[in-house]
Amino acid sequence: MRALEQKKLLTLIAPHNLQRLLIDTAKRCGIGGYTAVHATGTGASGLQSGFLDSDSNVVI
Amino acid sequence: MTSGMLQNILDPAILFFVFGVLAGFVRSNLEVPPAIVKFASLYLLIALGLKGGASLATGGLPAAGALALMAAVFIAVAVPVYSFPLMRRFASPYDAAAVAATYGSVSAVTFIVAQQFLTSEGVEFGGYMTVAMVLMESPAIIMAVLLASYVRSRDVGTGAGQPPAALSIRKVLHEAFTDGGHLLLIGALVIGFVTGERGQEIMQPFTVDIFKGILAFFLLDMGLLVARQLRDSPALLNRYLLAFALLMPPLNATIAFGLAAALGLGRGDAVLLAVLSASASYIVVPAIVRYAIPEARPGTYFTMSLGITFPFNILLGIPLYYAASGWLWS
Repeated sequence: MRALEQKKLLTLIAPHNLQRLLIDTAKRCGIGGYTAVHATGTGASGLQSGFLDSDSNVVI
Repeated sequence: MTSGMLQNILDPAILFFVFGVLAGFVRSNLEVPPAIVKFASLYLLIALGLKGGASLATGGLPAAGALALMAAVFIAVAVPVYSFPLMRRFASPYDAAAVAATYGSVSAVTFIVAQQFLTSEGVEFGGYMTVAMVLMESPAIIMAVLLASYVRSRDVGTGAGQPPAALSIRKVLHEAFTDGGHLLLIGALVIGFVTGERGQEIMQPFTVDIFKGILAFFLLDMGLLVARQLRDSPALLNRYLLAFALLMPPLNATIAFGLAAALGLGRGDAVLLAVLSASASYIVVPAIVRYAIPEARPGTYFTMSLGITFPFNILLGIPLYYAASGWLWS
């Protein structure tokens, strides 16, 4: 069985089209791994309805 | 003009758009799965590119076509140049740069609807207008990045704090030209050109027979999206931004008509050039502006282009520009 270890969890919520850029940047910073999930929502940037790529978020 | 508007509204695809807006406003849970929307948008780009390429293969690029392409690029550069100082009067410099880019670029769906309208009116246009559309997508992005860089350098100069690091122009250009939809459209254009009439016959059941149905489906989803944007983002728009979103399209169309008349373009090409000038991007440019101008608020430029300008052009603008062309090209 794999030993458990302490890791820091970083959660990013960003526009969908920034996913590749963020993951590439995070990999260069030495992350152990990541999970990306498609997301919708609303906030200061307005509505992210998820209908179009330019209108969707991603949670990494 | 009234009959043109009526004919446009009574088109099933447009009616599905209107239905989508109404369904969105009454908060129906009607929803088109995102993957289906993505397929529909890619399908429309393939059909548009193949038809344009095949038309270019049979008709070639006459002198008028070359002039139309030059006019298209000129407008794509000029619109951000005069839109930016105009927007600066009532928005932040970054929002102004993002809006300038959005309105300097084009909407493929508005272009497709305009082509359908012209076909139903029996007005011919050149296949090279699809190439014009492709050419108009990127200059506005470059202009916006340059404008945003200018604004950032002014912020540093006035000591308004260290601006966030922005992507290089090379990176932005790479993202702009390798954008999936943009690349697919270019690929379809080339394939349509290479395969010509024979290719068009082979693809007819896919790109012609079911085209209207898929367009209707896509416009239904766009209607739902427009309604949600208007419902949930109204506080981000003030009356000046609303006026900009409604008045810039006919202004840009007027400039395009003037250029088309001066260059001696045909009526169909002039109308399409006007529609391209009047349209604003809500897929490609907003996606690129997200990382090229991160300081800009999507709730401003995206809501303006999708929530106000897109429905205006689809419902009123296209028949309006067509009617105007009737006076100029009588």
